[in-house]
Amino acid sequence: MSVDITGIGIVSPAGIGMDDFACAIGVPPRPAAGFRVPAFGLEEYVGNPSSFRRVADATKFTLAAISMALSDAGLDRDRRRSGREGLLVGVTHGAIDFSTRFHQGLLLEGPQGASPLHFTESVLNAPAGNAAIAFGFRGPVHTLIGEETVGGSAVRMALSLLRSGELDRCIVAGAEEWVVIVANAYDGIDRARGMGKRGSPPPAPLGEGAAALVLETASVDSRRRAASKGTIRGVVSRRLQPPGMSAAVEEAVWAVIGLAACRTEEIAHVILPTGRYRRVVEQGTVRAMGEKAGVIRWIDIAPHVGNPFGAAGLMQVAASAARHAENTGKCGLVLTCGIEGSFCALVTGSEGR
Amino acid sequence: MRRRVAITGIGIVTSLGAGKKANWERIVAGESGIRPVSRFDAEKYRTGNAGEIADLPVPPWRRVRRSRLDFASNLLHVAFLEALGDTGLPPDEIAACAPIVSLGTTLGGMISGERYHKTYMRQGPSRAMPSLVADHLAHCQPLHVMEEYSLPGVPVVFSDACASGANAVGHAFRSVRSGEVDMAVCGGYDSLCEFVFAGFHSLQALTPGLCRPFDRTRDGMVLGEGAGVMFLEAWDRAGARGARILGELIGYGESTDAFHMTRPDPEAAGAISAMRSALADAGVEPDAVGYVNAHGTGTPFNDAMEASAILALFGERGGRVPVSSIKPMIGHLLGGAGAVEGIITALALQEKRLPPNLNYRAPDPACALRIVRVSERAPSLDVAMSNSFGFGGTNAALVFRSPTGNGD
Repeated sequence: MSVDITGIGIVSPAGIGMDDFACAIGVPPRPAAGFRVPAFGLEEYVGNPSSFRRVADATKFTLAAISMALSDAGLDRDRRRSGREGLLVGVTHGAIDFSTRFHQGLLLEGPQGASPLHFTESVLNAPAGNAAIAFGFRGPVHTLIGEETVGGSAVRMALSLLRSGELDRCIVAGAEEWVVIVANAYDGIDRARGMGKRGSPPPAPLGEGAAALVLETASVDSRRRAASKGTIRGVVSRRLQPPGMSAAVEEAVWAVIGLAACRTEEIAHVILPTGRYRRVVEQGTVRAMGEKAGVIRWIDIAPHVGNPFGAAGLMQVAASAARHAENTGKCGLVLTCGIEGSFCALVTGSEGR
Repeated sequence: MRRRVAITGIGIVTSLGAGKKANWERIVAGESGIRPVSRFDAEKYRTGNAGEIADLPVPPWRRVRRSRLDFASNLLHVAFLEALGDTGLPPDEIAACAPIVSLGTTLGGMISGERYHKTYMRQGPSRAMPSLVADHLAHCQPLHVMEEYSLPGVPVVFSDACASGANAVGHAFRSVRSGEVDMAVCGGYDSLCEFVFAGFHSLQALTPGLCRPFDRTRDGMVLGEGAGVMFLEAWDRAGARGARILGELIGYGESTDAFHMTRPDPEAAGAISAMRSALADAGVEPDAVGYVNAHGTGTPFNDAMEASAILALFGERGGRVPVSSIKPMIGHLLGGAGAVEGIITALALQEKRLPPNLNYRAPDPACALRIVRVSERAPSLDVAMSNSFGFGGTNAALVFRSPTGNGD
């Protein structure tokens, strides 16, 4: 059973909203000092913005992305939701800025400097918890933690909940915020691990933002005549470990194509990972695609958004949906990979558009 | 497809010790693992006590480099290894089963995160070890254990505050029951660190005295640390290979308050919904439940909310169902709480004995429950429930059946 994407919301350094994002990734990237989301307010995204005026950036991005996705799907963002609507949010680092500020207060002033606001809004499920309050989710609401692949994990869990009939609708989101302490840490890790050496491209700098998808089974969205923006046809995840990482990618690509019941000839585009091991992923995928590799459109969103970690996978799915909107082929392949070797391959489809 | 789900492995480590035997014996004896904190200077806080683990018997890491691991990875490893031993399967056979690994944590390796933050702020970025950031991330501890035992795939890591462990177990349960996988490794863990200690201190949620869930004089929680891991297998498969079945997981329910980030909904609608859907999922009526292992944090708001949820769910029987919280003995394990308390619930069914609610002295009319004051025999106990509620309004309930129970 394929699952339809009926709504997409996106907050990215390349633009806020699907139209801006799709336009931006379709043209050469503009030189920028960093991959930061332009400033914006929550007034147009939540009914009671004052309740969320002190949330962390990761939460703010999540709220805006979910709000846009619900509107895009034709759903009322202000109504109370049934227990059969779920929300899954994937993050890697979460609200690190608040966490850092909490530590700072504690270090400088002792227990008196420990802010309850910074503590409660730095917990990893703060974006999901606030989104549940803002949009009235009363069913399953989960925060999943992982590398760049965590968006794919959230989609996979959503497919399982939708196909088993546990849910009628599931919103999946991914979020991350840019913080200098994290950017510095990854610079150090990359140096220590020799990333960007031996002819491989340097890793994309830290990005930020959020992406959200409304996923529904075809029977549910046809009942309410929602417009499909594409489908999720299959997801697989693997752990890549040397040696043989490229071969593992090749196997995983074959596996997801099989799961999605499509042929390599039907893959019109590949959305490349924003994270580490991009060269390895590219090599394995080229081998899996064989002769077809030369005619596939290879799309790299990292020059536009950097590496937004927890938001990466779903921004890539949004990029794939943007390609489907241009009627450029039947299927897209979305590949994400993390620094610890997590790998996710996902096939999108253009059916239902 | 709805398959029965057997528990074939249990591992646990708390401040009461490492292993099922040590924990169970000390819990039924009503012993407390709460002691003065030694890991950091806790004297400056409202309380200096917690369920800190004094001597963790860290098993050797053979594939993963020991020097760069966070304490939380060691906690998880200890619990995993005990559970693995129960299954009677060698690690390569477990790896060949390609189990899903579903774990819950709130903070992952926050002890490493604290070290990074402190060095970064005091001495600048060049002096802070970046590998501490990698060890801090909440998906890294499961990855370490998976790497150590060559388990394939990518872990599913839930961070749903204090319901993380219960949701991780619930997800694994669904995956095995539906036939998606034949085996799952699931549970939760968290370590004690100053970040979380100071955080709950700032919320004025820590008791300066004893943690007394459901007591009229309760005034806060006590923190703890630990891990709980279970192996779940398709019942028929476990039976066919002659596995020792330690219990049966029969239901899981979840809900969200959508009310407030830190305060529970006083109407308890979300908690009732989670408990009710867990029972419906299990296919049992409330009357079948012989024991509730409560979330029971000892905070005024949580316990009042949970008591009203239990009373609403069980109706006129609500005041007679035995209820206890083990948090006064081991502390609040946050992401590990749901898993460890689920394990204690499974052990209660196995041993036909109810764990006590330590420090309970003065009944609270707002919590008119049948609190288990001292451990008691429960020869007819067949079905029990474990509750978990967390920040963000997340609620989860797990329903277990005795391994000798009537599953047909």
